[in-house]
Amino acid sequence: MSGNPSPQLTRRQFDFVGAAVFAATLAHAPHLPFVVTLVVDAILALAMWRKHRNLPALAGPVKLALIAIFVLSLLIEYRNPFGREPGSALACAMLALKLLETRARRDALAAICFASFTLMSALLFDTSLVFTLTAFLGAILLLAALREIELPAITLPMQTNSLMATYGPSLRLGAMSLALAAPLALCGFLFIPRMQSPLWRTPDGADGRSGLSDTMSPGSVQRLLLDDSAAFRVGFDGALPPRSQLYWRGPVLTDFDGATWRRHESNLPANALDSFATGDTVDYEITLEASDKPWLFALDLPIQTSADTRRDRDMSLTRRQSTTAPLRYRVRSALRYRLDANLSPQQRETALALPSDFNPRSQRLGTQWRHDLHDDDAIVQAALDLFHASFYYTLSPPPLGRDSVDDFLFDTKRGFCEHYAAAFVVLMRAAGIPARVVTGYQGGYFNRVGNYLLVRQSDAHAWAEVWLAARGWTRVDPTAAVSPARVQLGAQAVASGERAWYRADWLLALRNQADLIDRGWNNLVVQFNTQRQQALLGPLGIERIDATTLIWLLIGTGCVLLAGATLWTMRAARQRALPIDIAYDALCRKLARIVAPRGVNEGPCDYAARVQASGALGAARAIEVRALFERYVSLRYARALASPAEIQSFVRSVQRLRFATRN
Amino acid sequence: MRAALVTAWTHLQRLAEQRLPALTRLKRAESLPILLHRRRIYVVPSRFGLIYSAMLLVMLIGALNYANNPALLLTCLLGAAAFQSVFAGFRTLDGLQLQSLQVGPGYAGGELRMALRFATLSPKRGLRLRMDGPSAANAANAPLAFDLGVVGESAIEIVLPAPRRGWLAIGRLRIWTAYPYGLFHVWSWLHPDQRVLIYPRIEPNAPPLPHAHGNTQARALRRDDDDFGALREYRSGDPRRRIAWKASARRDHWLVKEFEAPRNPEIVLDWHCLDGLDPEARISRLSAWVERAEGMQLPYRLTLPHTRLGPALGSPHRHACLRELALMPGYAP
Repeated sequence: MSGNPSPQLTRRQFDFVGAAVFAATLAHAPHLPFVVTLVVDAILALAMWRKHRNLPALAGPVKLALIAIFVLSLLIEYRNPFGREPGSALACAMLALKLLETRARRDALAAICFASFTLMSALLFDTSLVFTLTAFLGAILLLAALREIELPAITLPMQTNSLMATYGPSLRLGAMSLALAAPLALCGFLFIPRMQSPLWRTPDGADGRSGLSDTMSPGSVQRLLLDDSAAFRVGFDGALPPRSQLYWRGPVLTDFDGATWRRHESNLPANALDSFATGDTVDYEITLEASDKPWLFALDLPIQTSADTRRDRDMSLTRRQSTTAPLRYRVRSALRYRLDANLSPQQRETALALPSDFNPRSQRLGTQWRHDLHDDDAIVQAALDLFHASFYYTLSPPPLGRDSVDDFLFDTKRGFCEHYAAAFVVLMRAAGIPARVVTGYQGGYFNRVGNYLLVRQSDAHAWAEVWLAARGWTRVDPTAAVSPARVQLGAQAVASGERAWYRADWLLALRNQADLIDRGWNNLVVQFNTQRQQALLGPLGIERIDATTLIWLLIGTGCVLLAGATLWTMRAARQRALPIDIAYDALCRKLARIVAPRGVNEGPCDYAARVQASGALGAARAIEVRALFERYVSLRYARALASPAEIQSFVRSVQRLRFATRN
Repeated sequence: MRAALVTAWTHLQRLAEQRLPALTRLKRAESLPILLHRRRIYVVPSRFGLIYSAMLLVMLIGALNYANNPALLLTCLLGAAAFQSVFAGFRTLDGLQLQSLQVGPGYAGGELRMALRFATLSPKRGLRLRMDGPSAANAANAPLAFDLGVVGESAIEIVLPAPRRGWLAIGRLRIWTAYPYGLFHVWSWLHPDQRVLIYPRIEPNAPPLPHAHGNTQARALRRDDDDFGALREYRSGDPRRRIAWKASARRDHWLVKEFEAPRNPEIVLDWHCLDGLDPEARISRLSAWVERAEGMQLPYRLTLPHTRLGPALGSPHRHACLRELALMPGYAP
């Protein structure tokens, strides 16, 4: 407590601290650039090496220089130092550098403290069940390191061969601590009031979450097609609509500058609900993963949605803020619909615009079709026939030049959805048919056990809509003309030859099943928000709990749990005695039945003498009993410590002692 | 500034011990064995515990800000585990019993080895022990860290400073633990009502023993009848085999053979012969001589102002002499 110098760490203690720090930084590896991870690990390895060589801590200037170099390189790498990602990179680096100077107990404690924070912050990037459990393992390591620091260095067992015997007890204690902490932690989790609005926010887009963007240029969807993480999950009120109808509408891209497709800026909100639906409607609930983008997805065509979403003129759903936490919303969609029976001149102009200095060959082809074929339907069919005749579906298409659509249509003839959709829309516009690109997802995996549809990022898709006088906006999926299997089976099935080993069919099937657990985790834990918290006591008839009540609940349940633990702790240690005293008591009880009970203040020697003098046992037994008492005295009170074996032997002798009951 | 704070803190502690009955009760010495139980185990969060809880608060706010439930769950788990470590800490001290203590010989100015025998019903880890009181502040009195890994009895050795000769009360020992995670400081007092005798300081490089020159080996007395020095009159109690029968026959009273006396005169360690020295120095020198005479196996006599011991040789005599020397009344320096 007072001014004693902080004790130095032993190598073993250092190893534990190093392992805990390593675990905390490792949790950040998935979202940090490879180079950063490499540098952090190199610093950790250097710290370990220096400790094992008994080299002193680094000098101050060297440390400062290292920090400066690292901060500079982070600034160069990220430019914006205030995002979550640069922050986590900096935290990892500081933690590793801290280990480099850790020699005393005090440094180690500081490192563990900061490692806890670093470990927690890793969960801000990935909230999946697997990752959370991994973070819990990291927490076990942290606790084990704290325990090691607390143990006296001298009495630790020497490095034995068995790894488990060496490192087991601390790890076991850490795991047990977490397990025992579960009830209290749960009560905290349930009752700590959630914030209605965050205190601070990282700038949007600083986090690099994958998801559909609102622009499309060649190759932009490609990254998504390789991403197996969940985009959203859908629970249908009724039966699952047919697969070929599962087009999940996202951003609608109308503006084309020759390279990139964009949303049309002056999108007006949709007018009062027209009667779009021409057939049955479908009701369902979507649980959208955090995407950091403001738009939502719905089955073509959403006609009714929950309150705070806005429906644009082009029937895409957007929110005011980005979706930074999982979001749940209900939608009613019409699978058969009629959209925009009449097109305003302005709309028409937008949907026909083509940059004149791009893709001349495609434009000529469109104009020629308009000239040859008079029917809009025929032109659409001509384009689909063209694709069907000589195009291939592939996820790794050859690169395209400046006139990307020309290159694709007339030279490479290989590509995936975005190429087909873009080329199709360009051809239609050239032929005078209003057309636009719709991005979103197509298909999904239906989990029978959980009765929900899982849509992954890899289900991302792009298709086209053309406006036909008789039908309004009509969906045309040119990709389906090339590869019907893409729509029927999904992107994975089509590109089976191009997948990495870890995306094999059986593994994917397994992961599709395991998504049930992820969904449960998401439902129960990740999406537990203010509304769910307020409705916690719903089953008891309490509709809404306010923050104050929550805090009282937290304090109340916490106190009950702690009081229980306190009582248990105090009871468990009471009323127990040393084995030798238990045996002595047994001996006295046995004699009490034959001779007389031992007086409260009677010592073993006096009692033994009294027993012998009473003559109740007979001479031989009396001597035997006397010897037992003498053994007890020497074991209990002699100067040298009695060995456990001697105590055991005494206990056994007492147990063997039998007296014939006096008649 | 720092010194002033320390003074204020000790003052505050003293005040607290006066005011709080539970603390003052343990200021008194107790007879062994001393059992630590819930009424005398105290718990406060350690400094690291406070820092760690501040860090947990930061983590909590971070998790809440990002509405990130898994992060919140991890924070809650770590917080609950940290909080519950207080129970493990309590159990570390609970049921611990100081059975006995055994103190080796110590000389003033040196140190004292004290073996404490603890009994425990469950293995205890991460215990610390330190003398309480004024010496607690000095750096040499670093806490002793130990484990009691086995159920039953085990002994711990602690080294105490032995400031001056005479009786030394063991004083109060502070036993504490921060096990398992260093977040809570769980402590109690052990104040056995035992005192130990500290022998006087042994003067280093003391001059040789007085009158101890020449052959210093006491010779074993031989049974050879011819080798006696003189005859003297029989006194009652003389053994019969010592009677010189031939010589007695010529006299009217019995004569007994008197064997040769040891060649060296008896060693007398006399307080009064050291007039030139101050009293403490005399005590030191006499003690040194006692030890030397023991080492050379020479019987010696110790003469002090109020008592005289010996002549004799051997452990009981040595301890008696050193004890008398240790308990000489104090002299102002």
